[in-house]
Amino acid sequence: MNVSRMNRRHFLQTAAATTLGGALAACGSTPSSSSSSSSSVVTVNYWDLLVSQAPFIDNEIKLFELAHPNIKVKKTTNLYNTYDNLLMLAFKSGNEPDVFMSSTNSTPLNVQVQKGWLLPLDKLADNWKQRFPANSFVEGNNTFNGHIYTAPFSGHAPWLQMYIHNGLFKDAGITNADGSVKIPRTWDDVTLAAEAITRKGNGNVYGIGFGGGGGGDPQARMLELFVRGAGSPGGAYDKDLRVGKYTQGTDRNYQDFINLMLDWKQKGYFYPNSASISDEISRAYFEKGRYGMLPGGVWNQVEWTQHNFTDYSLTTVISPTETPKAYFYYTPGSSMWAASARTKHPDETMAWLDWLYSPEAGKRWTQQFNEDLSIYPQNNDPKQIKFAPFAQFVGLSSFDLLGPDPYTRNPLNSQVVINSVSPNIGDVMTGIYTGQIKQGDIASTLMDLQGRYQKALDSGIDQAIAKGVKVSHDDWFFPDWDPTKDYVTKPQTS
Amino acid sequence: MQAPTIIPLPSEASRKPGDPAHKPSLWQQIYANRWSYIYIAPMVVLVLAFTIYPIFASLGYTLYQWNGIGDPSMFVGLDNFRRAMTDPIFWESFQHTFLYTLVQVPVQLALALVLALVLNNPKLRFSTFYRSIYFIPAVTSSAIIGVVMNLMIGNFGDNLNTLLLNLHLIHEHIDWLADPRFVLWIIIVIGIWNTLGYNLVYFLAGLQTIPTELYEAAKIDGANAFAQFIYITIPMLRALGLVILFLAILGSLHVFDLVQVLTGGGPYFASEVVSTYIYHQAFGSFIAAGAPTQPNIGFASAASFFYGVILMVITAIQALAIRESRRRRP
Repeated sequence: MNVSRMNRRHFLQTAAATTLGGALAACGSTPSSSSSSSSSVVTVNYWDLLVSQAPFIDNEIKLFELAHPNIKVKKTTNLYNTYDNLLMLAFKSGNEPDVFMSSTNSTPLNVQVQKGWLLPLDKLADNWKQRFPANSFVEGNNTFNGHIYTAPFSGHAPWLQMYIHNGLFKDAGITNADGSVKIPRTWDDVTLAAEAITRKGNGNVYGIGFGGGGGGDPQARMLELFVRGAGSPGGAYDKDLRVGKYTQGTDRNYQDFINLMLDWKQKGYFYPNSASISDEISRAYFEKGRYGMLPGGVWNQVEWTQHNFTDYSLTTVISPTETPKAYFYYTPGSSMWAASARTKHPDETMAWLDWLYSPEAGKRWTQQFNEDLSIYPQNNDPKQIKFAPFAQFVGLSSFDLLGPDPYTRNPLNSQVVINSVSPNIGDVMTGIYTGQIKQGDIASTLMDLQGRYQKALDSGIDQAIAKGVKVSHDDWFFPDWDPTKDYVTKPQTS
Repeated sequence: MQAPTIIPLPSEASRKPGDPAHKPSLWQQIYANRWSYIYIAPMVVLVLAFTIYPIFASLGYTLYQWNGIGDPSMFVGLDNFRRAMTDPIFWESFQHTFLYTLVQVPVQLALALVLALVLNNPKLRFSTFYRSIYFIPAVTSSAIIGVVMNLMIGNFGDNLNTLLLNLHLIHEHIDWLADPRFVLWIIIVIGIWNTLGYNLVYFLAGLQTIPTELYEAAKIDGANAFAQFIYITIPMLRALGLVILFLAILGSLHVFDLVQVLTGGGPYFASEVVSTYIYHQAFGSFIAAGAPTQPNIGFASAASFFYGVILMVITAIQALAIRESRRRRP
């Protein structure tokens, strides 16, 4: 609808209908979709979990409702760390929203499909297959038995970066010949920068900070950011698919970075309260110049932009050598939003999903709100991005390569349930940082962790095989993978 | 003065001992006391629905690996119990819980009794004001206290460190909530402060039931304040004191919200107590980027049941010890 062409009577009718619909929706006791009895306004309930993307989502709701005056979107933003539980309980009790950010923390997507929770998006499939880039829909990933249930939305860039406080770097003299900030690329660069900033800070400013309070795993994130470039493509959390196994204990790179991290701590380069401050506070302290470097993701930028703090740079895949030996990797497919199979208004629900997944929304996501890259390559031109730090982030996309994917090779792997382990890498890295795991016990702890991760993977595969699912341990083994190049996974032929 | 004559009621007068025909039936007894049963019925229903039923309902889940979604299907037998009993983190949490109880209960009860004695002094001016001040933390949600303390000690811990450094009480910056040497003790101190008010009020109520004549008589006999406390106050508070002790022990063994909000059991399980351990197992841990802990209701139920059995054994030993001490009392 063209808003400018609305006459006054039509505007008032629409406003009245929207208000009435909203009021009735507000009075409703269930979160499922609802419609007013006296008008055609339909309320689509939408669940989100990321406060950082609220400006984008709110704007999309506004635009969508203007374009679809008969549909109202009621957004609920849930607490991040309980979202998965809430969503699963909502499904179990039949109170799930119409559209929601998908979550697979406790229940894999294929199980959600098996339970009949997700709406197959068959009406949108033909259109989506044409407009999304190649490899966006992958059987066993976001497509099951030929039906599309969800789709990727964000483009591919390393999910972790090291944020650099330009002011503190300049104050400490870490600059190039032209006066610009010298961005650290190697482990040594970070050490030198942290040392210079800490020395200059004289007990008030530190080299590195992070937010370890509130249950996050920032030390493991640091490991993820630093160990990949050393030649460990599994990073902190995953297996090395060249050998199809977890290698945290046997790969020397892990212990090397941990030793470096402990050395930084011992020399006082870390902001001393890092392990107990929250992620939000760590972000604020970086903005205030309490430390020069902060490992984190692009989600940091939104809040800083709101505060008009733009004097920072970023880097990623920090390696022992100038040239990284491994990078971040993405796999085809992925998901962002999905819909409930029990929605009472499938057409309106799909209209909202189609809107969210549109190239136009993706353009606003990347170019207007600087949230992340878009799945649509045409939206990711750094020249179209006015905000310099975000353009820098977009420029990091070359550090995220196409990696091997066991699920593309054999979609039946989606039926392999890999249980989490406890203590996990996040716990172990915290224990190492705080000294609860003594220096002499680190190697054995990492070996134990590796063994437990491997056992969880092997048990998951064995259990699937025992149930008659045609999967194999070799599905996870890619001996021909060169981690410095894109890898196209071929589907299994037999 | 003429002594009153007790005239037996006809029914009682005609009843012979051991005559079952005249013994009221169970239904008659219930009917006769119907209002008592009606009054306690809501509580009984709630306890049955939300305490007794879940205990037995969760017993079946202990035999499954189950994330709480759908019906449990992966039968693991007694493996969850074996894992709980052999998990060092469970026993570490167990130790933390008992350390919390062993320190928090005696310190808090002693403080509460001392404060109650002071506030019970009729000569003390503004005693109502002081009572309110001490009781305010008790009526404040532990979760809110946890959040505020987290802000003070963790997020804005620089201020505390600066103060202590300036006072030369510490020599280096300490990350209090992330230091395994201090974190549990900080929780214990906050726990003592948080629920002190309840026990203070209980003791105060108990003190006010002690007849003042006893103290007056003791004074006349030449007993000083300490002797009055030992020979009058303590014996007269014994029955109430046992109830307060039981409630304090049970409350401290179930400590959860303060720990969960303040530290989440960290760092690296340094402040994990059994309740937070069970919670983390039941509902999974923080959705970290790459290392979430999946929920396992089956394992959590097994750990919970196992802990319940341990608590029952401890409670039974405690009850036996108290009964024995009463029996030996002259």
